[in-house]
Amino acid sequence: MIWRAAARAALLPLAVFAIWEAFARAHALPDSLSRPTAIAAALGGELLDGSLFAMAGQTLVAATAGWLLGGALAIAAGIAIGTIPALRLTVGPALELMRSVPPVALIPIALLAFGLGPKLEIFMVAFSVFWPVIIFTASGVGAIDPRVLEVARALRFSPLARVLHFVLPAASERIAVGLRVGAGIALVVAVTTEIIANPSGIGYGIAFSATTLRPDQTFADLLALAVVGFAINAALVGGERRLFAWART
Amino acid sequence: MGAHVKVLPGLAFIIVLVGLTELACDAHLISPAIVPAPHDVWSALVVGIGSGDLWAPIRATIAHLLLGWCAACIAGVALGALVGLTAFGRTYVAPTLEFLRPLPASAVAPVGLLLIGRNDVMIVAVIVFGAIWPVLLGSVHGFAAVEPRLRDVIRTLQLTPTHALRSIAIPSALPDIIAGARVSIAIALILAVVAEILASTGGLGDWLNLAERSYRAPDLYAGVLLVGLLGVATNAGLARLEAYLLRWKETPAWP
Repeated sequence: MIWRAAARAALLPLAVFAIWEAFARAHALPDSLSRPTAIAAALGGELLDGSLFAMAGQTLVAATAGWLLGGALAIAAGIAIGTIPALRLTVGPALELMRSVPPVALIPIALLAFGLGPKLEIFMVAFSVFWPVIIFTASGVGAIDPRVLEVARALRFSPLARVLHFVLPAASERIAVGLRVGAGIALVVAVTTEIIANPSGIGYGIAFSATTLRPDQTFADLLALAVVGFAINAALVGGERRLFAWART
Repeated sequence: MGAHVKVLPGLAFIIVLVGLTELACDAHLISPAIVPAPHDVWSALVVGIGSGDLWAPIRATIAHLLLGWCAACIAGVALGALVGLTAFGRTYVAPTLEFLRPLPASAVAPVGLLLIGRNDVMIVAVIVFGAIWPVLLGSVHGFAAVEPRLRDVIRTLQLTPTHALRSIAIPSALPDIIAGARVSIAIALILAVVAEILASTGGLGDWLNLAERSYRAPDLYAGVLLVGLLGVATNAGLARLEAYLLRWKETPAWP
């Protein structure tokens, strides 16, 4: 049954590849479109010499580092905003304003500040991941039953212990959603930063092969990126479902 | 207590933040090459708009954004209806769409450069490819989730396909489509900036890139401010459009 569904799902891409190959061989397509067999050969070459793994590794390391940094800062800030109403009232509008700027517009500014290199990419990812995580964290903290916190206070837990033992577990499901949304954004922003500025990773591979007129490599890297994106997405959705199975009984 | 009292602390904080930046810049605590003084950014904005230098990029970006977004919405709804309403689409087309969706949209910008070249067509094409997904998936979901009893109504009344589409399928899918369209326009703005930076044929993305390359930090920040403003404006505009198009839906009891 699963095999049948998979075969049906593969039919459309296979048909597209077959038509693409046929037209390319008949010279009915521009050379810049390459053809599926050449792309497969380029993909095979990049897999064998390890360059694809190296590029994907650079992208994933930068994306993960930025995700962790931005996520950690956002959880801390989200808890502060969620538990202290006066703070939310004061910094909320400023955060709202900053959030409305598309992160990519900040790449030129980050370039001035950090120059080329991993710092630039990690900053961009961290900045972009910060927003969804802080929003989900603050909303998760805001939804905690006030009586829980009253009990914690009555039991004379220190503020730090209250956050660690009461606020964090109660808000963890929302925080996890924020982190999952953030992880998707992290990959997108890492790749975008590589395409526009930072000469490393899979994004640079795509941009460089496109400008040096190696369309077979461009499409091969694009395909690899699609697989990486799909795998990350599937892993995160599956992981979240497993981690929070207890919350959905 | 009026609503204006509640925004006061927020406003005060922003003013203090801008004031502190100004002081720090005047005292040479931060490099003006990285963070320019707010009054320099303001005068860059005023001069740019006054002299007309900034109008061309603003107009170009708005044109790219709206053209790409409208095309993405039309194509997304049409394709979504095809996939969502037919068993063929759900079995054979939907899996491919699910596979392509997590692909970072900006990654197709170099491919656009390769296939189309450095021009406005490439910018719009990149926006269409990236911004189509939320509308497409929203409309696939919206059309696939038409209330089963409404399908019975279509059968009982023997509605023609066009009539059924217009009076039942589209209204019932509209909330999902509009939700997708709102996400789409945010993505479209991001891709407009990315594609403009790569194409360097005008637009705010190009403006940012040139300002950064020639170390004109005030112009750069003025451009970022305008991109942010465009984001706020399009989001607010779509919220109003959503309220207008969905005015027939039951309004909740609370205001």
